[in-house]
Formats: sequence, structure tokens, C-alpha cells
Amino acid sequence: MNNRFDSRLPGEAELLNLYHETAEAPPAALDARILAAARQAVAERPQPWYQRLLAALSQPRHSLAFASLAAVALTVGLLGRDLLEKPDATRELAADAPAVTASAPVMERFAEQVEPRELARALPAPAPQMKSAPAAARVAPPNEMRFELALQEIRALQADGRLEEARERLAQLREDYPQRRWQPQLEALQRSLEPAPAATAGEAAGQD
Amino acid sequence: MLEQRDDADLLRRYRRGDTEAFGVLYARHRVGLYSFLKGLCSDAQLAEEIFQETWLSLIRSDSQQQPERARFRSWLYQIARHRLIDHWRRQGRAAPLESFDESVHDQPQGDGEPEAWLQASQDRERLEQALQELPEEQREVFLLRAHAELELAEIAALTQVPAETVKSRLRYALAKLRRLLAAPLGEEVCR
Repeated sequence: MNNRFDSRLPGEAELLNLYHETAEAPPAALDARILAAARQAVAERPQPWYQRLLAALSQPRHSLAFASLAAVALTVGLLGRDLLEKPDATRELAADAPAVTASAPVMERFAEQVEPRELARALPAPAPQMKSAPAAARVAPPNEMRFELALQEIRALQADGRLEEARERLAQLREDYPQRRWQPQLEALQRSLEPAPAATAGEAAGQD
Repeated sequence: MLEQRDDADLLRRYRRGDTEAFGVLYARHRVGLYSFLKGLCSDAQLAEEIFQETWLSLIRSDSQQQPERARFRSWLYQIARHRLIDHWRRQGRAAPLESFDESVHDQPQGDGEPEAWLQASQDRERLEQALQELPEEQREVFLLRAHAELELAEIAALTQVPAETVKSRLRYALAKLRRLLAAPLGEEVCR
């Protein structure tokens, strides 16, 4: 028999041990009720945020997650501080952004003015790596330039005496540019390419 | 790990939401508290009721804080004792634990041989019967010593009686138990 008690009175330790060792446990159902009530009370109790944090950190599996989160937060914080300490870098970034965005509408408007069929005719054959039609359209010359080039081509054909080709090219040009069909340049070119009138032929015969 | 921690630390942990700490605390005191209550009121059903009320009051009341200088063990038994006295009062019974004249119960010690009555007292029923023969004040002090393992000064603080009175009650209780347990079975015992 173990002596749990300091014997201060005669025979005290023996009697205390005797009763202590024959102590009776509460029923298991009572244990279960009390332990369940303890768990439920904790579940229903609103815990302050710092107590919930401490309880979570005391669990090993949460410690690793918290360490990872802290590392990410530290990294983000340091990067943010670097950017704040280097205003030039942010200004450079800010300056670049509008330039990029502003160029897009200009290119869009330019592309709308050009028809792909005209481009294929007026421009030299594209390089193999520039097969994309929209990309080519964005670097094409304006309509006015191509119109002038076509006129020069017709005049060159006329000068070479290739009148039939010059007429066909002119007809095609007037068809491609219906809004310019009656421009003086085209009218003059049209007249110069037409066959000589009969009066002119008569005058020539009279002179002869 | 938790088993190494003291009662106050386990209670603090439970207050922070650690239910495992409560489990350790409960396991540490369940047998002692239940035996104390059952021995004091000699009614298993009432003992269970008071036992449950005591633990539930501990669980549900955050404001019921342990006095700084009191041991958890002493505080726990004090809650249980107050609950039992309240129950007796509600039943119209005077609280015998608070009105007791020691001199009335001062009886001469018996001459039984310790080995003999220890051998004969292995029967729990007989132990229980002998315990119930004690006046309630003496029984309370004896039970607090046997199951709560409190020092005499702690029992004096808990029961709010002078330490000398506690010591006297314990001495009378020991003497009477020794005499009762040494007596042959079936022999009539006078108080």
C-alpha cells in the first residue's frame, strides 16, 4: 500500500490510503456528458482573435502554413518598398504605358482606310514572315499615294505607246476609286487616251 | 505533454479553447470529486447531480475565476460543497456541515489491532458503512483529506472553520473509523 499522505495523526495515513484506493469512479455516461458539454461550450464561445490565433499556432500543422504566409507577406512588403524607394522606375513604367495604348487607335483608323485588295496590288510582294494581312495593312501607304502611283503608271504606259494597257489600267483605277471617277486628272487622262475624233481626221485630210 | 502541466495551466488552456486540456483536468479530478460527494451525501444519484453541476458551472462560466491564491483542487471542491449545501437547503434540510459541536462526538478510541481491522476492511461496503457512521462534519474533513488530498490549512479555508477545529474533527474521524473497522462484522456500534 502506497503512502500518499504525510502522517500527522496516529493511524491517519493507513486509513486515508485505504479509502483513497477504494475510491469509486463516476459512471461512464456522466463522463461523456461532461466532456461533450466542455467541447460544446468551446465551440459556442466567441473567442477573441488573438486567442484563436494562439490556439491555431499551437498546432504543428498550422505552424508551417503560418510560416509560409509570413514569408510571402515579407517578400511582397520588401518588393513594395523597393518600388517606393525608386520613383524613376515607376515613372518609366507610367510613361511607357500611354505610348503603347495611344498607338493602337491610330493604327486602327489607318487600317480602316485601306482595302486589302488595293494593298495587294500597290505594294510589293510581302516577305514570307509577313503573311498576316492585318499586320501588313497597318504598315501600308495611304490611298492618295497609291492613287498617284497608279496615275503615273498609266502615264508611263501612255508614253510607251501601250495605249490599250493604259486604257485598261485607267478603267480599273476608276472602278477602284469611284469617288474620284470624275476628278479632272482622270478626265484629262481619259480624254488623252481616247481615239482621235473624226473632225481631227478631216482637218488632217484637208491639210494634206 | 499536457499531463505534466498543473491544474491552473490546464484551466487557462481550456479557457482559450483547448478541449484536450479540459480532458486532462477532468481525468485528474473525476474520481476524487465523485467519491467525495458520494461519501458526503451517501446518495449516488444526488452525488452524480452535484458532480455534473460542479463541472458544468466550471465549463459555462468564464467569469467564475479561480481565486489567485487558492489551488484549483481546493476551489473545485469548494464549488461542489457549496452546491451540495444549496441543494440540502432547497430540500428544507439544515446544513449540518455548518453547525456541529465537536465535544458531543468526543468518544474514546477503540483498542483494535490495526492489522486486523485493515485486513477486515477490504470490503468496500464496510468502508462505506463505517464512513456513514461518522458525523457529517468529521466525514467531510476526512473525505477532503482522503480524496482531495488537501492540507489541513486548505480544508480550514475551504470549510471556513479554524485549523484547530479541522484537526480535531479529523482526529475524531480517524479514531471512530478505526474502532468501527476493527469491530467484528455485525457487531452493533454505538456512536
